[in-house]
Amino acid sequence: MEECGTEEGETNAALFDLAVYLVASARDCMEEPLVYGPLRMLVGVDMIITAMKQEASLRDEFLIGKQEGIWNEVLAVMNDREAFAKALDDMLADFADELKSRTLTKKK
Amino acid sequence: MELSDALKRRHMNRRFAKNPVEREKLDRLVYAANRAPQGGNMPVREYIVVADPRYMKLLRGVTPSFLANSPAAIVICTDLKKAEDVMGVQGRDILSLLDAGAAAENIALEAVELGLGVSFVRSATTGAARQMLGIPDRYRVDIIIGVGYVAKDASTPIRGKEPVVHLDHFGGMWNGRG
Repeated sequence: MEECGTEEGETNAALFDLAVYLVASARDCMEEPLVYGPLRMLVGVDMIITAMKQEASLRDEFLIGKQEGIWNEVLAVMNDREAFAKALDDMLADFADELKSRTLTKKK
Repeated sequence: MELSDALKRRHMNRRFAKNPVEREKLDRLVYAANRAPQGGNMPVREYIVVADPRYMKLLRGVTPSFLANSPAAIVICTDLKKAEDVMGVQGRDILSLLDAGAAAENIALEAVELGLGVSFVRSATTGAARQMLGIPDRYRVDIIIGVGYVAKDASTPIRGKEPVVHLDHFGGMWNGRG
């Protein structure tokens, strides 16, 4: 029986799209401005979150909560190097906090 | 619409509505593109109008710079063999690219007139784009232009709006519009 909210085919397709995107990005990054590297990686994260949302067992509320911020808070300032670095630092700090919390609260 | 109004309003867009672009409007964009110069006055430039969502997915999938979610795209290509025959190596490598840029700008201006938005895309992955759309090897993919109805105007103002102009010689003082 198919689990509620589980669309395995859609998740597979989304992950395949992500793989194609990353390979194409690897090629593109060789000839693009350096700042496009972070852009491509963040778009990749956005695609990962989108793929995870499609399958109930992979949904991650922390990541979903961060998805809009990728575009509205971080990529929105990518033309300002200092602001971009600050926005990335802030986002990384949130991810680091979450990682720490998940790691240290895990049962041994 | 006056040309000066279209020039003021023209800018790149990333967020588009889902509505498809009518065939007649796409045809007008191609007409505008074809009114741009072509070196040697020979048709070395060709267009692929992509409107089928499946082909849009293929094109976008191998073109990371194609961040816009436009429902359609126009791909401008140059027949390199024909361009070299007509204009020589310089024409093949440089003039035809300049002409393609002029064609792209014509599309952008006509899009304003038609109530549409555009997004210019250039990528190092044109080999894969060629593969997706079945473009023969002798054609160069010059530019991809996403086309659609704008959903939200998220564009930022053009930086450095004032042009750097030299009067008569490099360094000559230009007083702008005064």
